Amino acid sequence: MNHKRTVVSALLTLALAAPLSLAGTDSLWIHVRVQDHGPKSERVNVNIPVSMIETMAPMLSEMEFDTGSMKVGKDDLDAVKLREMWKALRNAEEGEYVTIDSVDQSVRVMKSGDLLLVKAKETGAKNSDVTVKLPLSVVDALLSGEGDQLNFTAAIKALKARGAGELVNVNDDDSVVRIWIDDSNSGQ
Amino acid sequence: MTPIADSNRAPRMGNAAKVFLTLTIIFAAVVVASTLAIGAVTYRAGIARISVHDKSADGVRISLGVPMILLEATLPLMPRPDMGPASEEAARWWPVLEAACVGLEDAPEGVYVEVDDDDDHVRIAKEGSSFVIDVDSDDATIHVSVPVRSFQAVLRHFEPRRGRAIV
Repeated sequence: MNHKRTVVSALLTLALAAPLSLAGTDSLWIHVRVQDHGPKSERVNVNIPVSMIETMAPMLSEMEFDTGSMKVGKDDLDAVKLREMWKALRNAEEGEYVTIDSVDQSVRVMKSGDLLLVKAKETGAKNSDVTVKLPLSVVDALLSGEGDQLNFTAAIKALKARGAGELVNVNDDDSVVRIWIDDSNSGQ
Repeated sequence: MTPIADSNRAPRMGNAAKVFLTLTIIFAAVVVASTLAIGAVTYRAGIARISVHDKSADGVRISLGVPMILLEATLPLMPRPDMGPASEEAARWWPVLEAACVGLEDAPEGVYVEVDDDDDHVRIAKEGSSFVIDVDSDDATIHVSVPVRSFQAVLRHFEPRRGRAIV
């Protein structure tokens, strides 16, 4: 009897919690904060509902971008090559994959948990610290398009499904930039 | 027995008077219905509000409310700006802008953009069904409130066409 009651209570809790969790992902906001340390000390806050970006995503996926490839070193890297590289990285184990060290610069690309982490540090004449946290599921979704197309619709859906989290953090001598997702409309 | 004269009975209305009364009632009904219809359409389309306060010594205050139905009606008369070579690029991005407008209509309320520096404060927000822009600078205070619903009509009118300059 007690066992039955426990199962019923668990099912009731799940039934009540499911709409609440769905409501949470529906009201996600992407926030961008830019704090300039210049003479005018400018501060820019941008808060955009993810649902709004979701309506724009199909249009972005349909667009033909002139820059269908990006330059990495001497080679052009198009979506097809990028997809192959991503497949290899995706199937690999966790760890550091790219390490670039010079006198005043260091770049690390690593796979950690469900994130692809990019960390870049610059010292010397200009100090900067950049951290990019890309959820693997989002990159998977973005590269799920065909040919040269990037699937923005799937990427936004994956971002939404992942929920709150930090995406980009840039800290240099002139400014601080932060991009993250949470369920508050002010990002406070 | 003399017949009793019915002194209380109202005098009979002539045919001309009846026609006149019927026409008057129809006219009044049409006027009331049209006023209600115009009111409903105006309310549905919303009102754009603009207020400017010049902070200088002899500064003026301007406050204006424009029914969006009026703006939408006059849209076809408005000339399209010539974007020149940029029209091709603008045309590519137009569907994204239109999709953003659709998304904005259903998007939740909140402050979307806020820019602060030593002199100015700019705030762009969605409040209810309106898109609100507030600018507070040393020189002036500006408040613009536009119903989000009207954005699509405005964008559709100003949509640049590919392959030719717009005049």
